[in-house]
Amino acid sequence: MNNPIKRSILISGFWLLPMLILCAGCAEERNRSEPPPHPAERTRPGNWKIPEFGTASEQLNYTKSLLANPRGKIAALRALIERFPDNRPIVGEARLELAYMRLGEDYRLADAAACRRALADYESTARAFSDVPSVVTKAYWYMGWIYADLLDEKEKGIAIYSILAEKYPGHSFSRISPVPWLNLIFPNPRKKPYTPDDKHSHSWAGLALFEIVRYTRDDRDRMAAFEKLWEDHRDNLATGYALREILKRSDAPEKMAHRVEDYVKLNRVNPELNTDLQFYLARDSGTPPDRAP
Amino acid sequence: MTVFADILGVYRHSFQLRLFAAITGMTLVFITATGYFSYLQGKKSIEKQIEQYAVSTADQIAARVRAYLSRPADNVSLLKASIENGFIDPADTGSLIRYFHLLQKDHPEFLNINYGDRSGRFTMVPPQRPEVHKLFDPRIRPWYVGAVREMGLFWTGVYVFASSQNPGITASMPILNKDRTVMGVCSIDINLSTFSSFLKSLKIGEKGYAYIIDNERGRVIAHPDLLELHGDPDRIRFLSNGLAILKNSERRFGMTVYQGREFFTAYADYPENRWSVGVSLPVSEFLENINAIKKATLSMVLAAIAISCAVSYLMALTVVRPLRTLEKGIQRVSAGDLDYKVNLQDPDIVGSLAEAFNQMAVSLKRSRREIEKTYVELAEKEKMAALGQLTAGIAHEIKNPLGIILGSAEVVANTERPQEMREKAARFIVDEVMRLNKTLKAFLAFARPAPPSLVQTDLMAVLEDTLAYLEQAASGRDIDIVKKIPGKKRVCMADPDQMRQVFLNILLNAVQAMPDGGTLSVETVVTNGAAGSEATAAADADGNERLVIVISDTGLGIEPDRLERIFEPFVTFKDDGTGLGLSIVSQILKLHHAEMTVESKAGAGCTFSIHFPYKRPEEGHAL
Repeated sequence: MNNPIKRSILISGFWLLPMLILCAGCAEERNRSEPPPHPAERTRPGNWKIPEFGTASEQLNYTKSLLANPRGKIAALRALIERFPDNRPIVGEARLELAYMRLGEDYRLADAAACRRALADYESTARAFSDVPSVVTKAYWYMGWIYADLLDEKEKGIAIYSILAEKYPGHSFSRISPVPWLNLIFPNPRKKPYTPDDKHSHSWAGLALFEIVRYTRDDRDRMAAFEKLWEDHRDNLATGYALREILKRSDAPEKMAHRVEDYVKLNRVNPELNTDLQFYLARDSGTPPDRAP
Repeated sequence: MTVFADILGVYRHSFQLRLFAAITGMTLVFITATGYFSYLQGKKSIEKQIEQYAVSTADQIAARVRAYLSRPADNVSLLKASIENGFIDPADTGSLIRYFHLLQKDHPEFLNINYGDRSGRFTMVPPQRPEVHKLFDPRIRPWYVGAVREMGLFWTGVYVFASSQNPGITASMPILNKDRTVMGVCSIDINLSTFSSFLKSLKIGEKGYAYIIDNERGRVIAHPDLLELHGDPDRIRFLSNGLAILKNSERRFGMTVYQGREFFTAYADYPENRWSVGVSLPVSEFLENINAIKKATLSMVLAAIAISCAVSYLMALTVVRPLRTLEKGIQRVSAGDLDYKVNLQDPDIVGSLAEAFNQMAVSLKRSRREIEKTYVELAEKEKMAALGQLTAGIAHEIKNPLGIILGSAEVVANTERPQEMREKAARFIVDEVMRLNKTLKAFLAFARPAPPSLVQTDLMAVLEDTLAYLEQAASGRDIDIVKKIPGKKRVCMADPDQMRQVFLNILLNAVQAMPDGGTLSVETVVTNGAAGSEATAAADADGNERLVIVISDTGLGIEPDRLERIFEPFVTFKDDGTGLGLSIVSQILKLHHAEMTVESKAGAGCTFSIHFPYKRPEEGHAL
């Protein structure tokens, strides 16, 4: 202990050693994940905060996500039209959605006035977007549907369906509603969900012809519509249902047997529709149906 | 290494440091171990709390899920009963729709309320898009197929709703005719996004989350980030496998790892649907608590170490300080200060030790006084004994000549004796008187030796002079004189006359010891070697050297029993010796602080070595 420096070193050593040992395990681990980027929001009239996406398509999908919020949806659609006025297909689609919103939360409970307002909107949209077939065909079909189903003016509805089938035979639609958040986040088509009967094609014209088959009182018109459907849209699901409608109404369904066979062969028909077709086909053959649809 | 060796040296030589190190080391190990075990205990306690929290949260969520899902199940049963009992006519679509709307108003969590019949007619609230509705066939939907199969309440697995394309689950029940055939199926859809939102609304810690797994298919039924999971099969596998592992190990709580991140995971069974409700809590969230314990423990340990070091230092000081006081006391007492008192005020052993030490000093003082007294007495006795011996010697030396003188004087006084005889007797008297005179002179020289007058004396020159005289005296005898004397001067503080007497006495004795001739060797060396006594050693320690003069002969030698007595006065083994020569030599050398040693064997000669204190001249003063 004669040398104070060496003594200090030794005493410091006694301090430092345990400190070093104890401090060795003090490293703190923290995992911080970056929050996902959110689109910017803008407040719209009615105090609606609408996120602004990069493309018109994404913006439209967002509006469709607001299924349970009609007012918010209307605000979002108007914002879309304001933001992307030059994107006519998307703006047209937005206007069609606004027209649909005229019918209220449940179109089955819509009164005639609401239907008329919706019809007016669809009509003006069809006129304004006559150069955009996807908008026009959908507008025509909805006009036919409102007349035929909601206003029970079958003849007017059939007339519009006929125009649609005649002028715009080739425009398809997807029965799968766009799921905005899924599409936005996971655009991978392999992840696309499907329903069992969605393996068929769908077209506005095909659906219109099916409606004619259902609602027309003239058997010749019905068959003509079906023949056109059969010729132009054989792979449509609507064709299967139209075939069932024909079989149901036919006095000699066996004449349609080859059609049923062809249709079932061509399409992976859902089992219930297939059963229906087989049932109506065998109705007069003496084979007792195992059930009545 | 040198620094380390130095520190080690300091450590080994410092009792206080070793004591400090021992106490500190011991307390350090104890405190560190205690701190570490406290930390482990705290961590274990927190983990136990987390386990209880996670398991109870899972149980609570399972209960809430049960309550949440009981509503659609109860309502679908009510719907079935209402239709079967005729309260609602399913053919009246308007009534059905209104009823469904009322039901949904009461239960906004019901995404869809459905009714489908055997013909494929389908009614749903809220409505499907018309283009979807036109082509929709309820009979192929999972809820319809399952209810018909089970003929009772059926919960679907997770599937995608056609209306919204959202994943969900459906509670359905078949509606039966009176003949127990199936009329249709009613169902209520629960959107898993909504269900997940419900889970998301639950606050589970800061970053914890709950989820529901289908045990059979390993699917995620509900999760706060359900939509993100669709593109992340690894994460889905992690969620389902994590619970499966826990189930297999029959534990409800454990640790799971996903992409390097650790999670505390617990689950609760939800057997009605073969689901499991899982709860995962990121460990990182609780690291703060664990780290807080770690920090607190560390702070306490460091504080305890600091205090223990200070206490250890003070303890070491407390032990060492009295020892140092005692050490000082011992040094003082060793130096002869027997009156020194150690002053240590301590009621315990240290005080007793100091008291014992002081008593020991008192005893030592008393003992020394007695020893001194005894020594004086002994010296007196020795002096008296020596005086007696000396007196006896003198008496012996005088008695014989006096006898001769008396006899001779009687012859001289007797006139009847022949003249020749009387003259011879007279010569005897003269001779004996002369001998007496010589003896008395020698005795006087021994009894009262003249103090040496010390001057710078070259002992080599004195030795050379003496040898020159001796060579003359020894001429005619067959004696070889061998000199190994360097030419250099060897100057010492000495009385040259007395030193000449010393050399002459020793050299003459050597010559007389060789009556038949022989070799007389004289050698001088300067050496550091000690002559053997403590005084000499002390002189060496002061840096002085010694001049050693060695005089050897090859004469008769001395018997061992006689060798011890050759320096005693009046002891002689020669016929005509006084027995005082070597005694005088010894006394002279003592006065010069020199020493003499003798080595001899009978018949093998004798060697006298004189060790003279010597200091080499400083450089530049070559002597």
